[in-house]
Amino acid sequence: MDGPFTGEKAGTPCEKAAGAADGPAFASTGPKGHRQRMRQRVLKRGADSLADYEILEMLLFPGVPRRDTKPQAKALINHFGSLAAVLEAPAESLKKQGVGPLSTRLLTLMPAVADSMAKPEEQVRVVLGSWDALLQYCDVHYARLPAGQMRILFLDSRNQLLADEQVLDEPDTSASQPAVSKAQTAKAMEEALRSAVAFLLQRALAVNASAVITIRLTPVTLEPDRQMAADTPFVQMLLKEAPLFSVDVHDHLVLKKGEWRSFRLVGQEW
Amino acid sequence: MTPKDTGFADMGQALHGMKPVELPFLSRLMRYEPDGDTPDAPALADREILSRLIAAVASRSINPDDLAAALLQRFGSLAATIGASLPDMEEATGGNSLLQVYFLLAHEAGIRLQRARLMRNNVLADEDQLYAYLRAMLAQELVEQVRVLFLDAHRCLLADEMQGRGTVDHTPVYPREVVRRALELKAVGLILVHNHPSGDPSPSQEDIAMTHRIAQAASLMGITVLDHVIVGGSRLVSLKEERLF
Repeated sequence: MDGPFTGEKAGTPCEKAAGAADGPAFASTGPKGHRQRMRQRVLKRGADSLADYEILEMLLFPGVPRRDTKPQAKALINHFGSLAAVLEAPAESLKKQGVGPLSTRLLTLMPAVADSMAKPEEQVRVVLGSWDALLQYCDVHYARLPAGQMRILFLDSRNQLLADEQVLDEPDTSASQPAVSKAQTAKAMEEALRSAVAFLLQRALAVNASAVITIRLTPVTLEPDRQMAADTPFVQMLLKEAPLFSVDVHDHLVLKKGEWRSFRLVGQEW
Repeated sequence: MTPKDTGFADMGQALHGMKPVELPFLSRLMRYEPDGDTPDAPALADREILSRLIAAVASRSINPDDLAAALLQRFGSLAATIGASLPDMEEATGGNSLLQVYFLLAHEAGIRLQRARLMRNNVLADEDQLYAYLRAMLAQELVEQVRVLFLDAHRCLLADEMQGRGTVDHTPVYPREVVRRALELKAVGLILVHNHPSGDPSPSQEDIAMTHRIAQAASLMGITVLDHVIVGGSRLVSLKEERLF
């Protein structure tokens, strides 16, 4: 017999896009379905709406594969007095209350998690706050990279390095283009530049960067100044679009075997 | 013969008012588990905690140490990993929704633990514990959030509520709403809290002005704004300590 929900499938493309399920809403009413629903609830709405006993109930899932853990969660909170007291209880006390070894390990891990969330952050990341720091970083990390690459350094507001990535699919801004009309080449170039800049800014948003530095490793065949000239359209496009996203462009650096050129210092329009 | 004003009777009075001191070092020792944990490293490193969390939850096909190392490389710390936004987590775990769920749960459990510790004493008794709680709540938040801690006459925490959430630069907070809620809760003291996602906790002119506005409205009702704390990354600035209001 069809239940009340099986007839009303979420059908429209918008409903589906918003995550409505295909098929009945309550595919399984057993423990597995319940756990799945709770996991979905956490993913969709976060864990802060869960009651204390529900947090504990879910922390017990991994160690108790089949049984409903709600009774145990409630019993533990009753015995120890609160969720915090359960999580701070020593392993021995938990075991005495019938908590299995895997659950015990998970529960007793939580105070360490809490402490870690509360401590002042250590400096885990490289800080590129000065020319020296930046050039040294390049020396160390780019020595073995193939020349010709362009790289992006993503920084936070304190100039800590968040990510260091290569720019792939670069627009070819060299002079040697096939002989098509000037207008077509210019248009195609504009498109390619926009696409490259869009990709860079997308990555900046993804890593929550508030600043970038772009770096070109000049090939042997090119003089740094020529390389800088070739890179200029890209840098200018980047300078134009980046402010909209609250991303600072600190500089564009051209490197070649101990020599370097800075877009900023060269006196280009900044 | 002891002088009148330093007799045993007076010492008795003083002892009566004292509360037992919390020694976190001592309570960590008392939590020491003899089943294999190294006794000489009282605080587990982020890498170890993350690795154990992954091992407890994820399928055996995942190497917890490797994944923990990769996540720490990406996010910088355990707190940042489990406090990351859902899209970031999704990308970093390769779409492993089970891990995501347990990172969210661990994050929430951490906050509730810190809140419980804060509520054991009055909120102003232990600045370290207050700051620990505020860090746990706000250090990893990427959106500006304004919260209010509502306190009773004994400075015990009645409620801790989000008052506004906004764009990176500007979050509106209305004195009217804060005071209305305080009256509802019968709070007589307030601590304002907000975070600067930029990581810089320095107060802006607007931060200071907002504090004054709320303090003014509150004081008419006999409610005191005790402090305004700004969380920037894991650094905190107390406007009271900086004598800015």
